[in-house]
Formats: sequence, C-alpha cells, structure tokens
Amino acid sequence: MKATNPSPSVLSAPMLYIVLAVAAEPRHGYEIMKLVEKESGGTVKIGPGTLYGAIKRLLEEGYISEKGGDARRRFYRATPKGTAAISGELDRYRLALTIAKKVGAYPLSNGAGL
Amino acid sequence: MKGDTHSVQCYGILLMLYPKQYRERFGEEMLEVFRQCDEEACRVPGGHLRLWLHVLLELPSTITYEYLKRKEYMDRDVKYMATAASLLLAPFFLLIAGAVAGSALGLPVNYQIGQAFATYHLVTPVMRVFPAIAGVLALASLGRQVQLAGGVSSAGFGTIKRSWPIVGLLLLSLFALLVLPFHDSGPCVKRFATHPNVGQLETCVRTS
Repeated sequence: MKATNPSPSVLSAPMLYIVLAVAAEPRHGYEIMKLVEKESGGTVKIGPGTLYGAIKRLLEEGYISEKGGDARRRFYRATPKGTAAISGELDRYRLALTIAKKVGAYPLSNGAGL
Repeated sequence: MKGDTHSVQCYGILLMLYPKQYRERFGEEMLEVFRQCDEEACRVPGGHLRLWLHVLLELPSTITYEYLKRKEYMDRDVKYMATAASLLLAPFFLLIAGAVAGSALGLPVNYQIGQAFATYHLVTPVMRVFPAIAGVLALASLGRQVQLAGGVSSAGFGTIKRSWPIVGLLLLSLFALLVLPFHDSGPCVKRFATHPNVGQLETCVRTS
C-alpha cells in the first residue's frame, strides 16, 4: 500500500508547468512561456516576473539546471530530481482521477469535464 | 536598452526595483523575454495594454517576494506579505497603468494627469478594502512569527524587531486606512458640535 501512495505535492502550479516544459529538451525563458501558454490552450499565462521567480526556486532546489546560452538567453533542462517530481505529481493526479471516477464525480452529469 | 521601444525601456527601469543579486542573475534574461513579448504585442491589437496589465499585476508581488524570501520567514508568510504589499501598492500601479495607457493612446499629459486623479477618486472607496486586507495579512504574519518565537516574551519582542518589514507593512496599512477615507469626497466644510462627554468636536461635512 505504501508503495502506491504518491509523494506529497512539492511543486507549485507554475513550477510544475516549467519543469514539464523543460523535461524533454533544454529551453530558454521565452520558449518556456510560449510552450506553457500554447499547450494549456491559453488558460495558463506566466509573466516574466513569475517565470524567473519560479526558475530561481527550481534552480535552488535542484529540479532544473542550466544548459548553456548567454546572459540574455540561458537554456534550462530538468534534472533527474525534477523528472522524479513530475512523476510524483502525475501519480497524484492519476490517483485523484481514479477516485473521482469511482465516486462518480468525473465526468460530471452536467457535462463539465467531458 | 539603446534602440529599444519605450515599453522595453520602461520595463528595464522597473527591473531596478528587484533586489540587486536577483537583478544581476536574471535581469538580462527577463528583459530579453519582455522584449520578445513586446514584439509580439505590436502585432496584436490591444496587445501592449494586455502585456502591461499582466506585468503590473505580477510585479509588486514578485518584487516583494524576492525581498522577503529569507530563511527566517515561512513560505506562507512571504506570500501573505507579498499580497499585502501588492494591495498597498495597487493604487500607485493603477496610476502608472493609466499613464502608460494614456501615453499609448497619445493623450496630452495634462489630460492624463487629470484623468488619473479622477480615476483615483472614483476607485478610492474600493481601495479602502485593500489596506484593510493588507493589515489583516500583516497582523497574521506577525502573530505567527511571535508564536513561533514562543509568545510575547523577550524573544517575542526580539522577533517583532527582526520582523520590521511586517511591522512596516502593518503601519503602512493602518496609515492608508486612516488617510484614504478623507481623500475622495470633494471639498470639506468644518463644523463644530458639542458632545456632552468630550466637549467641542470638530466635524467635517462633505459638500459633494
């Protein structure tokens, strides 16, 4: 039972989106911003202040690392710790979705979430 | 910065508000990201307004967060304080947003200033809510700091001394609460009334 319990959430929403954006390949700030906006269908917009505040914390905590570039455009890439954090978060979402389906809370009868 | 648009230059100036260490590490990158956002905004109608609105909404909280993000404050307190500071700074940023929008629309400076103050007077009653919430948040943070230090004792007072940014925000909130109500209601006519317990009281009657 213990092995199936996902780890508690460690990443805030903007931090999770940023680590997801740099999981597969190194990206710079503007690329991360646009990717998050595009893939979320325009619902998640991260401004430069929020973006670099989150990048700073992710670097400090070792979830991402720098991969070249210059002072104006640095590239970032998820570390093994960052990839593990993504897995933990996605496990939590998967578990929440399973429970929601079991109790009939998803998909909702009024059509929301379909 | 040379050759950049006014919008990018303004953002470059605002970046100076961030802590020096943060600015030196991320300033160039943030400016480059903004530059690209600015180029994109040029191609969309109303793009500049949307971009600046987003920037001005996130700037006060992110700047305060970076100043207060120290080991001795809990994450939740830093968030509370950043929110409190944003609420207190909201009226000033509203004026800046008005000026940027006015400048983008090519309005004369006199008209812009007049409109900015008219808007300020219009929204002042709403603004009273902001320092009230800011004060409650600052008080909650201060309470937790004292509680963590073991209650109001010598250690607790030491904590209050160390927590000067929180105390400062609390005092600013109180000041804003006291000052704001007298700013929005037009000219004031002084009247005097006699109270049985206090004696003569000076009252202020609004004429509009």
